[in-house]
Amino acid sequence: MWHYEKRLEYPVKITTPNPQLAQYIMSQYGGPDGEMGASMRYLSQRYTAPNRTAAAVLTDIGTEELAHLEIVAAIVHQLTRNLTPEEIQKSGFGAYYTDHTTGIWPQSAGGYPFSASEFQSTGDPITDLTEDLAAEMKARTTYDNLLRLIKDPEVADPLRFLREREVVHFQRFGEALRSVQEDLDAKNFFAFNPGFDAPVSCNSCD
Amino acid sequence: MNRNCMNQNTNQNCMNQNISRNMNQGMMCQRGSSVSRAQNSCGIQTDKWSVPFAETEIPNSCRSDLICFINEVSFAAYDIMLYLDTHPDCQEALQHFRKYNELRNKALKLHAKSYGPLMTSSTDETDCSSWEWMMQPWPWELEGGAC
Repeated sequence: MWHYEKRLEYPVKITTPNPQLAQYIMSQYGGPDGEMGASMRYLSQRYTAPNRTAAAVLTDIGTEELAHLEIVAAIVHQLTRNLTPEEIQKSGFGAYYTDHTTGIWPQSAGGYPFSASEFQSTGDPITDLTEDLAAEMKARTTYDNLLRLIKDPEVADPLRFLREREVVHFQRFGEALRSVQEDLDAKNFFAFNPGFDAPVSCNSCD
Repeated sequence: MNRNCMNQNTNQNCMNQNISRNMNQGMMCQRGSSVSRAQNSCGIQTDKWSVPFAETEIPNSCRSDLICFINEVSFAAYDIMLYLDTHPDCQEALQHFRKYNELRNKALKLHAKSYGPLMTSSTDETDCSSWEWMMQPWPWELEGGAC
């Protein structure tokens, strides 16, 4: 169950449209390391989480990624306001405009549509949490790449916030992975799959 | 604070608004924070969790001030919640969570009463005869994203 709050996790107020930047930034909406893949990855993986910590971290970070998806969409939307046909042609936004006008649609900066094949849900919590660590770093790198190109502080400001959250999530996923490993035999973490061979179902107060 | 149901006349840029959109300050508005550098019982620096709102009245001179406050305390509560997911016995973090969550709930109620609901669960706080929820600005609209 989710409830909507009519506010962004971090405010976006961009006064100067820039369709070229929108074309780049939309990759964090539906690109290979974008927020849509992040939220779907964590919210799908949580069902085989073997302890309370991992289930909570996957649920709560997955939820925050949905809020980040909305922030990125707000940035792209505000960067593509009131465009003239000349601006669209000059900026390289014409290919996207042809199919979507200025609607929001999940694709990478290069035009590839969002695909679930960009993330995994293996059913093995050690594998999944290790992927999640990499995913946070890939998203951080993408924000770093974007921030190198962006001079407008009104655009860079929310992107910096999103970049910092990747670092915090990386930390929390590291702690979740450690908590899973601490429940296993340190001599061989891979003796069995704790999400399948010996699933743990502990009550919340143990 | 009186307002019209339709919310069209709510002045969102109050006169004394001096919130800087300093790139590095982000959501932090103009309030100062009392920084304490003590280590807490969980062995982590608490200065990032300084308590700028402990004795503070919830700012409500205009909608954007209140939204900014809601953003700040909600983020604080959320980030501590993530920390608690991996440190469930940290008493200091629990206290911080409770404090920020209480401020957040108070501020959300105040917003619903003064300007309209941000969540459908707080529509009861408004004394409006029409469905005020849909009249509130959407967060991707420039006026909705104000801080």
